Amino acid sequence: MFKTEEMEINLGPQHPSTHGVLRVKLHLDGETVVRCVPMIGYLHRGVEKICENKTFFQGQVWTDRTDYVASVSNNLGWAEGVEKLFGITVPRRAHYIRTMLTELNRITSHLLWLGTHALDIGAMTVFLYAFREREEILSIFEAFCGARLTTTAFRIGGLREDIPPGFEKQVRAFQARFLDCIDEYEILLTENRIWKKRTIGVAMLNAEDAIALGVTGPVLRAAGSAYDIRKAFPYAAYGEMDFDVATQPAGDTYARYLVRLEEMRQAHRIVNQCLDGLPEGPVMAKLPKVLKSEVNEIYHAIEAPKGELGYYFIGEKGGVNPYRMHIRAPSFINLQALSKMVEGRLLADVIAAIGTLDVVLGEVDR
Amino acid sequence: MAITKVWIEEGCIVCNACEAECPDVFHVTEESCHIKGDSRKDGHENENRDEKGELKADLQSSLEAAIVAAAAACPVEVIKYEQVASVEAQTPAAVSEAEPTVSQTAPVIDADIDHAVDAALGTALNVPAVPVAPIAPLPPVLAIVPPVIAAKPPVPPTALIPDAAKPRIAKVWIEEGCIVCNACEADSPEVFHVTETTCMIKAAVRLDGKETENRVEKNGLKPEEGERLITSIITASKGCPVDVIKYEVLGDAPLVEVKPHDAVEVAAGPYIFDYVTAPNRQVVMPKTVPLPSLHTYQEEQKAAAAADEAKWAKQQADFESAKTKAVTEGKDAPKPPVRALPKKNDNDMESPAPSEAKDPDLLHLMDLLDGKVSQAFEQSGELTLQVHPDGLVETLMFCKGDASLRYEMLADQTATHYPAADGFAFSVVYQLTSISRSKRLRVRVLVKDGQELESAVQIYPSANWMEREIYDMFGIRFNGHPDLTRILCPEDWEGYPLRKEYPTLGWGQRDIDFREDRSGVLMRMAMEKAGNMGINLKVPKAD
Repeated sequence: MFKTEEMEINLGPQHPSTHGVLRVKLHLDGETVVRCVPMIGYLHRGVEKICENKTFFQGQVWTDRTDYVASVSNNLGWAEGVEKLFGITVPRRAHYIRTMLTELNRITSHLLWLGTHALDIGAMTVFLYAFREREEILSIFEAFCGARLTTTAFRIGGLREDIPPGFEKQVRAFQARFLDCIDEYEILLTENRIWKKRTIGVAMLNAEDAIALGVTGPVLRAAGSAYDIRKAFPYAAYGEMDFDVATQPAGDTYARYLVRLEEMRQAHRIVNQCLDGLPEGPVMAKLPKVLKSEVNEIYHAIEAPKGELGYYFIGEKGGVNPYRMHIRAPSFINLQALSKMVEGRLLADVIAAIGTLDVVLGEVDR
Repeated sequence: MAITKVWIEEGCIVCNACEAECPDVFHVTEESCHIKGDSRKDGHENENRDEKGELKADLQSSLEAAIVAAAAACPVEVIKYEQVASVEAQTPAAVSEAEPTVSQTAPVIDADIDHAVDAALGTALNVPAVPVAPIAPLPPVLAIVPPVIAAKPPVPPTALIPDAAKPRIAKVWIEEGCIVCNACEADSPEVFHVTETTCMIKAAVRLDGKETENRVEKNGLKPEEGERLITSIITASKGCPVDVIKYEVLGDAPLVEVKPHDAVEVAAGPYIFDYVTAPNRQVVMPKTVPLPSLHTYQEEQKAAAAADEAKWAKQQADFESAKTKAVTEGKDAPKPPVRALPKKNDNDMESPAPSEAKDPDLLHLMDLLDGKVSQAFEQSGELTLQVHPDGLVETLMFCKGDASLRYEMLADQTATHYPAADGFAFSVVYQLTSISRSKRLRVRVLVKDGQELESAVQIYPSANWMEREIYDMFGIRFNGHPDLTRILCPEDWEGYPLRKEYPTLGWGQRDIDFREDRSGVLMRMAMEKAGNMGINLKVPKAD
């Protein structure tokens, strides 16, 4: 006779589709997920505690290691947060270069997401295409700051150095062919029958739930809400840039795919504008040798590739370290929505849901 | 008393119960149970049903209890035996040497002793093989005190307890709930043995010679041990922080004064990292309370201005006195003082100062929450509203629900530890975002250590993990949270990492400055300390 009974299985913490050390406890009824409990903390290093014991300059190095596929965005959040805490005005040229690098970083992050997400669902080829372009951008980072992943690209008050000779040519060469590359990915996936079957209507999250759960970034925009911090609270040079916020109404995995592809196109647009309108001038603000803070409390959020990346600082009088530093990690908050997205759905959709949330466990656990 | 013969009647179901009870006598084959050849005088191994061969003399008494137990354990009751009262087999050697007449003239006592032993071991359940008058007032444990009997002239059994007047512990056992704190073992190491999971009553002091918690069987203590260790057992029982050590006392229990044990304090309070005695942990406790606040800022500014004014007044007074002195002495007048201008700031940096709340949102909220707002101000272009913890839920509901506010999203929630503060220990901040109005607001509450805060999960579901993280990192509990467990640290983690007293360096080996520890003494101490904490450190190999 047939017997039905709920089964509890662990997905992860060491599973190729969890993109790190995420463990998901699943209660299954046959192949249907009844309950889903993400369990995190396997990569917890205590970055907040460490940064409280480092100076404002040293702490930035640790932000490279939270979301390690979007380290330039993290650097920008840290640098701008500290500048807000101290009240530092950054030169306009530095803002432009920062914006350009951050948008290039958005492209690398989305490319990594596209490749691994497609790989999870079963499309192998896209991975190779996506990494081909990602490699090129990493070379651009290497030319700018000497590192490909752990960049520590910016300094408090601006940039350590201006862009190197030949840098603009390198970026323009990449820009010239990148739009065609996006079209290549679209040929591989957008009208692909398997891809559509695996993504349309999968891992649904409507805008109301997303906002209630604090979900931000492409996942929120794919549910129809046009909340983009670059537009809502402009920072760096985004106030002077002309770009559109990509949104889709559906709120499923396919919509998120379309939103991220469109974001790459918009990032391409912003990089071009930065190159064209790059102002002359210094790249570093005039600052005292030792930065000592006053009593102040700030929360500065930027639009990282994964969503709202917030830095919360408390400075004490005469302090060279932050009294308290907290990272509002988009992956951490977005991962809360996983249960909502997969409960009542099939086990195979859990893989798609983890991929579409685009979490990086270094950032979830910090 | 002894068992001379054992045999198996027909009907054995080969259940192995008897072999489990008494493996020396019974051997269960595939078809039936046999009496072992080793234990029999005739040396045959069979059921012994027909011939009824005798057991070996030395086994007759020593295996008696086990055989009786096996017979009782037999589910089909096919184990039969013949029990006789034998005198010479039972007399302890010591007794017969000292005064042989005693044991010979007191067979009744011996029989009583055996019965008492049976009763004590709990094996003579339903075996009234030899009719023995139960003597209730004789404590069972007296039976195994041969020297006592030997030293006395043969007297009626009741007269055998002159020492019963002396109080002693009859039984001691551990109830459920032991927290493995080692306090009892420190008080009474002869009786208690603390293992990794619970506390045991040591075999050496018990009649049955087993080491268990003695919770179910409640076996007696050896009387001489019970008498000797009475004080320490009562001390241990009173010193137990969770009161799980129970005992039965015969006679009047002595008054034992118990000093509070160190372990009690550790078990009662939260774990505090000893940063004073472990300087290598590099904990520097903050001296100031950097809580941004308009009021404090204005006070500071006022004090600084007053100090500046006083300095200027003193400079002028000094100048006046110097001038009059110079005039009287006929010298040139000194230069008049010049008031120092504020330092010129040629950096691209201007520290943001807090200012009065002018934003309509803040003013509106202050109207709505009449009296629950501690302060509201703006700094670095950010709005801060500090409310009383009682008004927190109300504030968040207004922020989300009020038509002119519409803060739909709780973007972030976190806490800060202020150990130097007076009257509170933590600030908890809620970063609210209004997506429809592109606006941010920070709501702040101050909480004391141990004070519970109302959970925001019902209003903003995104608070779920953030409150778990705050609980994990600071130990602030949230009332009404659906699942307030640790999220980043393992569930058995000790301490709250983001509190300021939490060390950035670990414990154990890292407490030692190895440059100072040539002899290795500190190292050994640290190993011991770590072992007490349940941390297994390996000794590094010397090169």
